[in-house]
Amino acid sequence: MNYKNIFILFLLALLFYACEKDITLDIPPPEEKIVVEGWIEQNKPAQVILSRNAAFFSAIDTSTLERLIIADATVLVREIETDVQEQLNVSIDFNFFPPFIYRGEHLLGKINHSYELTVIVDDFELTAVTSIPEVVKMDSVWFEPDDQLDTLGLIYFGFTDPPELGNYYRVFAKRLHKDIRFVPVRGSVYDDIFFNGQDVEYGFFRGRDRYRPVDEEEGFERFYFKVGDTIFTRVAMMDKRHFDFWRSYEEAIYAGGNPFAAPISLASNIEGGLGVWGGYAATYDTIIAKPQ
Amino acid sequence: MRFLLVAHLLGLIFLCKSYGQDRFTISGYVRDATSGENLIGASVYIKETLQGASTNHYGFYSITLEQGSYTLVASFIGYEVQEQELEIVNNERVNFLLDPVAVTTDIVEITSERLDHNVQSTAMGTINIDVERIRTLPAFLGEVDILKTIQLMPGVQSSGEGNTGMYVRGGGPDQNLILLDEAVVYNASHLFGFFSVFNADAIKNVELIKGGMPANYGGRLASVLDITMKEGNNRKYEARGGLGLISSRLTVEGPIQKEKSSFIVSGRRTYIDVLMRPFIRRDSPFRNSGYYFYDLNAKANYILSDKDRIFVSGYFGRDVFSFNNEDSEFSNSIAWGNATTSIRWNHLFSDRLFMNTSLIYSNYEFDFSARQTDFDIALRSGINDWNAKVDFNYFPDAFHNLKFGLNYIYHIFTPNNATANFREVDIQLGDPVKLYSHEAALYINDEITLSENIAFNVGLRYSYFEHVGPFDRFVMGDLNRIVDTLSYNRGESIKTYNNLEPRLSMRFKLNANSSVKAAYTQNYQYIHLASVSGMTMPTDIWVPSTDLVEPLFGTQYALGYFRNFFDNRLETSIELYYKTMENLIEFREGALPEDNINNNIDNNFVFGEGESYGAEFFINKRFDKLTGWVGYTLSWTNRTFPDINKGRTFPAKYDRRHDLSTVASYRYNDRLTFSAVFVYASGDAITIPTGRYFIEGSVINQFEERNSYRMEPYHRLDISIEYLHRKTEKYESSFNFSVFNVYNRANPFYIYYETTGDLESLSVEIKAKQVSLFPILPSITWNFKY
Repeated sequence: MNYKNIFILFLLALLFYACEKDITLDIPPPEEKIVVEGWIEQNKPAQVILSRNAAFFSAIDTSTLERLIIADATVLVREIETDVQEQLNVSIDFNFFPPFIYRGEHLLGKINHSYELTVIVDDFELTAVTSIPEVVKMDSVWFEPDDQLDTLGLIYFGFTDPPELGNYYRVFAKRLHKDIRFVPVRGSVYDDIFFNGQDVEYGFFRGRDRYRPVDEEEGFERFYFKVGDTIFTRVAMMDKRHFDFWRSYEEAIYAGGNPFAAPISLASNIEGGLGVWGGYAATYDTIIAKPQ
Repeated sequence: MRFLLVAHLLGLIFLCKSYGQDRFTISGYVRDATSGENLIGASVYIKETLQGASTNHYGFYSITLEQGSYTLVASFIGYEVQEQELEIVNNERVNFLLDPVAVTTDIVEITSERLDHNVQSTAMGTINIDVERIRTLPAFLGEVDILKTIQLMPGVQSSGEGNTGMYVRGGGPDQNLILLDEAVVYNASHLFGFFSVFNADAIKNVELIKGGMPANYGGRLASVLDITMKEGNNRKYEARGGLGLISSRLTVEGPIQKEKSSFIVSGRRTYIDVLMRPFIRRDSPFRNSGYYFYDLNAKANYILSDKDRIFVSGYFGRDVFSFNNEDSEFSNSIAWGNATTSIRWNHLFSDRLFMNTSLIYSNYEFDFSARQTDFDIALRSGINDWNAKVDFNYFPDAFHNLKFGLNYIYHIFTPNNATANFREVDIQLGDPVKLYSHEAALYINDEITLSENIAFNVGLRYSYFEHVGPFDRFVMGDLNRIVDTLSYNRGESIKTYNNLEPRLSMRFKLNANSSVKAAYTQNYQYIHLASVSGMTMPTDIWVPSTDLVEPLFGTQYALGYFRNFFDNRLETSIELYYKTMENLIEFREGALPEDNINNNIDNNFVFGEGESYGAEFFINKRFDKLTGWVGYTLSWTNRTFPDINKGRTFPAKYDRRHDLSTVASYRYNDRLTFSAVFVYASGDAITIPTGRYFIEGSVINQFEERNSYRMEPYHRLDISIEYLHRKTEKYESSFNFSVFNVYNRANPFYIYYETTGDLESLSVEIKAKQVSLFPILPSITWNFKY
């Protein structure tokens, strides 16, 4: 709930005269950077997507896609506590963008372990370290229809936050037959600064799979879960720097259009590049959305 | 060096006291003959010697002379000059009642000599605005606005399209001390800055000091905007008002007891909400929503005796915005505004020693509440000041005008205090936070006329600031995690600052119509405005200096050449300035609003410095049929923060290379006056993304250099016609027709980016769009006076 955005909204509504036009900005090209989107979860191998940045106004189409793709990088993940290292292998997966993903095989994430990522591509060498914290189990998960919207509603989680401050959560949901991946819910990232050590209940609107176009026909239904859905939920714990990245990401996405806000640069934990390398300690549940 | 200056000043006081046995003092008040209003800055002088004085803020003057016969002359712009022959053998009280000149009279003929204030005074960077003169200028949506007229002066820049926020010589909006009858006004704007809180009908005098600030002012780096409310006519009842497109005004004034006491009450309210209501469809989401603002000014004064007078004045204003939508379960209300009260007592200890004591309360409040489905949130922020002041004005002889006094302010700051609950369950957002501090100052200032050619204004201000408990300091460790909390008890001192601020300005007269002036000032500022956005918004938060936030410190050097032409009909000046600022605050890069919850807001600040330099050119024509001015500023303003932009120096958002304002009024005849305003300013420096990349399928902007891109320049022409439709002894009615932005220039307000297409079909395109606010806007206002 960002009250500044309401201000902006109002300001814009008020200025019924406001007019706009397309303009061309003469911008110098950015410094070339490698972008990392990598994660490792307990009992699962590491996965890393690599890409390059591009000039702000350059269009994306099949011809420019080629320039973004990095298919020949050396990607290494090392478990710091055991000094075990694995090189990841690249494969094509059209569920992601760009559609190349580096995956590990034998080195699986462990709770309370730390992982170092090294990426070598052309003249760049990028490094990052992340850790997988303890899992916080959900006591209950359920669907609840909105009073006035009949079959549409939110999903809820009840859990007990651990006593010490510094627990960071990210929430995903995947509807059976409807989603192809776990999609972050709307406002998926939060920490325990508001409820440290307490029993809490949290409700979430449905998020949007940003790899796919907005389904305009869905209308406002796209913000809700629906009676009849089978919903798989995934709540993942993170360390502070991993959390900082996703929080700045959400802030940039939701306040992205706010021209008065200070520009938001994502809080990257990658040395020598952009993006994130993060450990998740995930817990899974299933909800069958029923009317009340 | 500082010690010597103090010694010098003390020496001056004794020096002043040591002679003057066979000298006598003429003193008194200069007032308007029709209303009894004190005239501020009126000139009183001896015709034979040209020695003289200006009236102070309460219309008081004092001149000490040797025994003899003199002709005393009192003059003030817009009033008939008065002369009085005097045989001085005693101390004498001479009050002047000046008659306003009829519009048709040629003012220059009668006011003669003493109109060279521009060249004569030691004041630099000081501008007095005639409120009556503002009235004839083009009015935005029919609202006469003092702050917008101030923005047309060289060295003062507007903070954006239609905005009343101002940047003076490279300083931010928080560096301006805005005083209304001595009370600080913390947020001088309505409706996001499109209108100022000052209702011109209730205002008598506006003085802007943008450089060479005398020692009686302090607490801000960049400027002082000292606004005096009218006292109210103490001779007869009067009502004036106006009907405009978006608001109406009404002012009533008159004597309580004739020539002894008077009152003035002035109100203004907008009615966009009322006018719009019939046009909003019954099923519109805005059906139960609205916006309005209102102002109320009131003042009363009582002349107790020849030596004592009491003033009580107050201001109250609010902006109220509400949004209620029965369907969407979202409701929201926002209200913000200022309240001030001043009680002042003028006392004359002798003909040479004038005292004013003030008790002042200032308040600024911002309230926000919203409800969506099961979620409630409320936010409150603000500032409360309790202020006591004693100011003395001592006129030992014709060569000195001494001011000294002290000032104490108790500040209570309320940074964002949020409360929220979800399904009636409270969400922990931290205990409500209040910050308490003491601010005090002691000053002495002397205006010394050494000879006909050389005059000084020397001052020293000692300032004190203390942040006291109760307070919890959250100590931050690695990765911005709180590692410890230090608690302070009520009244416990947390941090104290003591500083000396020397002020010096001098004038060297080259000949009868030209002079060179120089000024050097140091200022400290103990309160800071934390702004997330580049605009001045009611959501900006005032915070005090703390153990982490050191006071702002500014040093300014200025040099000017002043020259009048054609018997002072044309005033011109060139002023050069160089200014440095230390301990400026900004939110750290990547800081988010929720970082302030359960934390000290200043833990999210970073600190840096700034510099500004430039040249201001000013040509002003105050008389005859054609009046107006041209102001041009060439300037540079930079910021350097170790933690922003990788430590590289970057231009401030409002670093404007060129800033030009032209104002012209032509009095065609007694009924018709035509006016025009043209402004040109270099575009704002903004940060734009240079690159982009993808994360989780979203386009992410990559920012590199801060404020490295310039928006298109801003320019605009406004015109107006003032038509005096009827004027009798008792009644006056006039119309102001204004056209804002005559040639419909689409000035840039902001730029945003639109991403179209999606990744699945591999077609994503990003476009930049520039949004402009106001096209050509005509308006009409009807003004009346009884």
